[in-house]
Amino acid sequence: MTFIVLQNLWQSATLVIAKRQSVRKLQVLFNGRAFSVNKKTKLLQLWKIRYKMILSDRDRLMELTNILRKIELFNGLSKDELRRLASKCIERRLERGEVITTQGVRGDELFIVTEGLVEVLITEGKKDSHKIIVNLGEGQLVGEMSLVDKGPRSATVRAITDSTVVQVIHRDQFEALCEENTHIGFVVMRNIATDLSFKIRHRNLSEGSW
Amino acid sequence: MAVFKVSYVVMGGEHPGAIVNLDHKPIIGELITLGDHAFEVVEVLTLVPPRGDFHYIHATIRRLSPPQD
Repeated sequence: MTFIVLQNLWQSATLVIAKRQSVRKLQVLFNGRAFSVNKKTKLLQLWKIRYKMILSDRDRLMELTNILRKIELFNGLSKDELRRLASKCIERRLERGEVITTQGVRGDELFIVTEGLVEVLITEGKKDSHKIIVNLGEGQLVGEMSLVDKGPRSATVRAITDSTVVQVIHRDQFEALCEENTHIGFVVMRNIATDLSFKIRHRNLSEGSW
Repeated sequence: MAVFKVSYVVMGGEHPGAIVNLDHKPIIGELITLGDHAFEVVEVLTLVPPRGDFHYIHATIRRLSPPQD
């Protein structure tokens, strides 16, 4: 069995066709979905698979771009810039209780909550003593501090609703995009600063209400 | 397309509150749920000016369901 993970949609069919004669069975993974291809697969079927991939990728990108438009992190970006960022996102679905980040552990990913609710916990003093500092819902960021300062995670974050959905962006890809397009870099970094400021204001107000 | 980024602060500090995006500005008396808990909005403040389509709102809420722990 040969596995190929496709990063570029337009390479897919040619890659499959090129490999068709040389492998017994080919498993094409695209956007987390698997397409099986064997030596008997006809050219027409391959093109059908490619067409399905094109539609699936286009629909996913359009849907995700519409979701990202409503997220503050991307406020000020053009449609094209949003599409470029959307292409870097990987969707992850979580069940209640599933952990996204663990306090003290290094991480290279930024998470954007697009459905459901997560809670942010910090460990205080004794190892077993946890304090929930905030719940974050749709449109909120998780992991932005590690993205900026490359330090360990400042808190543990876990899903508190079933079917919580997050979009994941890896730091390397994110930084490469920001360097390649400085407008994206400026806008996103400014928005991260605004988000951190808003979270600090929330915490100040919460602690003042005790 | 206005997006309201809302910080819900719970009176008495018995709950950490939440930050969520809404498609409307919270109003006093509105009932909301955060996870398994129900709350009522008692105060709405705009601390910082809006930018683009985004409005930044701080809302104080009061817990309606009794604490479970």
